[in-house]
Amino acid sequence: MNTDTRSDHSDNDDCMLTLYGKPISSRLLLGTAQYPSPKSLLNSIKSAGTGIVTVSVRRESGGKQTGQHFWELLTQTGCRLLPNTAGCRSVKEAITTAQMARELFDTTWIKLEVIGNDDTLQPDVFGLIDAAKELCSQGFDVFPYTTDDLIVGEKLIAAGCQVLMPWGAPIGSGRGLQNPKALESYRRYFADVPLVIDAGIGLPSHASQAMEMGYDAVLLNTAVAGSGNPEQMAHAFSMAVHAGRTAYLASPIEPRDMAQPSTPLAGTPFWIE
Amino acid sequence: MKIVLNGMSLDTNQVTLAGLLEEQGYKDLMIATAVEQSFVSKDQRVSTRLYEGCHIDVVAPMQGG
Repeated sequence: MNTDTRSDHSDNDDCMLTLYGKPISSRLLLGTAQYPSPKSLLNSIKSAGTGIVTVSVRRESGGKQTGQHFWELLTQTGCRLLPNTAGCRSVKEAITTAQMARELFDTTWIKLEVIGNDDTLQPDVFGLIDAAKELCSQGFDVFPYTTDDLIVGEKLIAAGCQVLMPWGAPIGSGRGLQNPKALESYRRYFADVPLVIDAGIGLPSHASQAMEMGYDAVLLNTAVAGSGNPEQMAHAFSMAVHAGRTAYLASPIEPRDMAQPSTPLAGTPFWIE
Repeated sequence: MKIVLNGMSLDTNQVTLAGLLEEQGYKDLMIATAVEQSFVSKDQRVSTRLYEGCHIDVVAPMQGG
């Protein structure tokens, strides 16, 4: 599996990302939570130029209709929906939530989260693999929120996942790529698998770093929604993702330990050999 | 009969999930349902019988990351 994913692309022409057979127009996937207002959410989606937004399901009482209002808002975005199983702490909870989301949003796509720890929101990778197996067998297109562990990734692929989404850092932490060497290895190892960095992104430079590594897309929420100006930050992320992807396709130079003069030495005045 | 709807205990005379949803104001709303943490599809609601102490979850679209 150790091949260069750039071989699929021409020097200047970026290929369109395909996830579960669907062409994706933007490599920035955006969450819909925590925005200061519905208008801010809509403006941020537009400003990000994103084609996929994540959504969730929550209990609703008959009189409130909060979810109905949110649904009406979603229909205005024109985005493809990626429902999640956020908050699920067991395989059964995740599977049932995925089934409810499939009926509710009329999509087989599911961002699978099985949370193992309340402080770090780290994935319970054992439950994640079990849930992925079951959901793939039921015809779901599973987007697993996972760690950068290669063996877990292998088992998710074996379970039927066609996309992997390793975390950059704990959800909502904004700390960026905490283990870049492991994520580089992950990219090289799963060269033929669409990879999305999910969680932990705080700054556009973090997103750009992921894209420069060759990741296919990034998924973030808090970094935009929690910023002082979500619409402006969404635009900044959009540019960063594009810049990182473009740089990756341009094959960056290899780092060196010692200096190498960029100005030609030939003809340097006062030079004595 | 006493049941638990979205974590809240309540009394109902309804005997099916479909009847309960109509009674509680969910008719025509965009929702999905589960009984005892198992998914119950829209088509199954009419034939899903309630029983004393059963746990029902009704969910709707919500913001998510």
